[in-house]
Amino acid sequence: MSEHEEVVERSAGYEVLSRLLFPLLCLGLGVVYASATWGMPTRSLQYPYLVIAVLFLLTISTVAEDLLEIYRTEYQAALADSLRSYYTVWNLSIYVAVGTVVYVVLITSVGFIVASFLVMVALMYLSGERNALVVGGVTAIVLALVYVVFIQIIGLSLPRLPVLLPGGDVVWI
Amino acid sequence: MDLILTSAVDLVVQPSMLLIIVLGVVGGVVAGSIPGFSGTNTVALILPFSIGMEPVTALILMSAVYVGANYGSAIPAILINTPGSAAAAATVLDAYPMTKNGDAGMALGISILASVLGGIIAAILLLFLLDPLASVAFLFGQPEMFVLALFGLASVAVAVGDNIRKGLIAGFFGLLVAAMPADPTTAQPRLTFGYPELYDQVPFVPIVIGLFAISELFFLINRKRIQDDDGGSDFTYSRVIAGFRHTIRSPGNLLRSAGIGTLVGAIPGSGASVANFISWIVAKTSSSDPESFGKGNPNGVVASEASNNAVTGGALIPTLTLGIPGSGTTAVMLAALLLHGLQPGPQLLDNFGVEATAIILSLFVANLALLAFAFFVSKYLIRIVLLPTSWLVPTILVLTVISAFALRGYVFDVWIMVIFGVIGFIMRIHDYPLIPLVLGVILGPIAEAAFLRGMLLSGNDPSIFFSSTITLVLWMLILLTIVWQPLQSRVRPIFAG
Repeated sequence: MSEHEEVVERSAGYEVLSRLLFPLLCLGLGVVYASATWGMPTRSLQYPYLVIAVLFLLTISTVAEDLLEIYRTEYQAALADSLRSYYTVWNLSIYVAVGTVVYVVLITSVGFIVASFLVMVALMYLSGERNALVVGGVTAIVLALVYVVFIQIIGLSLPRLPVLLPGGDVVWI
Repeated sequence: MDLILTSAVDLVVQPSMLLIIVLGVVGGVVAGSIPGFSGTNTVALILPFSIGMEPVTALILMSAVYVGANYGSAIPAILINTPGSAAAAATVLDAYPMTKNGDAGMALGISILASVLGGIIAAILLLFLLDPLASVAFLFGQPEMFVLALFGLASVAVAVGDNIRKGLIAGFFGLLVAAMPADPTTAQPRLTFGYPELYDQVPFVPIVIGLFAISELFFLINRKRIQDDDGGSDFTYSRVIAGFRHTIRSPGNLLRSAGIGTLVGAIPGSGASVANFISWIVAKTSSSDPESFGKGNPNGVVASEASNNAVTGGALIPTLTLGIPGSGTTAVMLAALLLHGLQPGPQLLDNFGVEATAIILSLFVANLALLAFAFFVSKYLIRIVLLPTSWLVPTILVLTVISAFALRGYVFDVWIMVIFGVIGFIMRIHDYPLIPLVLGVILGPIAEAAFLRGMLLSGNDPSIFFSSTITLVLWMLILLTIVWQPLQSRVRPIFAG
């Protein structure tokens, strides 16, 4: 158990779910790799299959060890208690994760500047900053700097939103 | 030789040249401090503008930018756990814990002076050992490079974290991720999930930013500030100067790390991203207090920063003497050399001795300019740690998205960053070290290319990877690295008991 997890109420089901997440991701990537490349010329696969073989050996031994340890430990809490406690501890982190995913989706639909404005305001509000002047000020300063440095000076072509003006002209923001 | 040196000194100390060096360093530091905006990007940006310049002026400007950018990447690594490039990935290990403990000033001071001295030591080595170092670097053929990559990965997996197996899993996961694009020799597509963006390479900058910066945001949002308590902190130049003092008092670590940086930089295809890890591991294993590394040991910062700036000198060795770039940035500089009619290779020093020597000398001046500029801005940079996380988290998120996007201009790379941010969070929760994964992704293409070429050279006979003295020594080192720590933990109680 890591120091980051000490505050979460532990149950056997939760331990299995959380501790095996990364090892299973490794195994999953290996399996998907092998099935997607099966039948390709051997020369292209010698190296990755060698890597997969070593990764499997290491991961399976770790999974077995973790399962054995979970089996031997007596847990008091139920899975639902663990999940509730996990949400209490990490709710702000979950907001940031969800906000990040929504942000990337928004970038492709409403453009970088508008998406950044929405996500910055939402995250600042969710993380406890309720002073509208501060929220607006910080967001405006950051986005103005980003616009000048990255779009105007460096010339980075970040996704932008076309806005149709009344006269028929289009402005990209 | 004396005449060449005198002419080169005259060339470099001209006021206009000094101004160009200072501007190059300042621009490099600013660009390098933007996560994802590496020295290669910055030097590449200058390339078109350099066409109108004198060849030596253009190359001196590029060298200055390179020096500045290599240092610049340490600033976000120290202050917000976000390495500006892979060159500063090992810097975060000790520098960010120092920041969280209220000593960002000292961490910045160490990084400034270690970078400067590392760069100067490398320039001295370059000036006197250009030819011998080039010949050492080229003892490493394809089989040696493959085994060296495995050795690098194994030693990092052992050095970082408490569980070797978890380190190795992270490292091999990184190697597998790096092997997803098309086969480098036959162009046969492999696991690209139908995304053309994955056909050529797995972008490692978004992966590094995701693993460190995005995963850190998930932790940071639960704190009020990066540094919770500012009561005992010193936000004047005094802690920066304390960092200078610590660096000067670590001459062994400094010299060794600069030497490692120069040598690794001289090996084509490796570079700062590999050198900073090797130096950090060597510093840790030779320390009397190895457990404190990764938890805010200043010597870890000295090792990483001295070596990654020394790479700038080392990488010029194969570029100037053989026309083979030692890093991405020197590949751009090589293009500039050719663009300006300077043919790199063994004859370079005979045909363009003054110009080549002036480029090397400009590294000294660039590092001195770096010292002055970085010291001046450090006092203001430190205050970032006191900003509320409710401001910092959204701001860092916006900057990381730009950084991931900047390199190739794909929103796909931003998704890669987000995915690896979540993976990084899961890994950190369960004590899987991030560094072996990063190194696996960086070393993956080098290892695979060396493996494939080695197999081609030997007619598919794997014994080529055991055929030279260097490979055998490296295999023995790998074995020792993996076996030593568990063996030590079993044997020690027997003797103690």
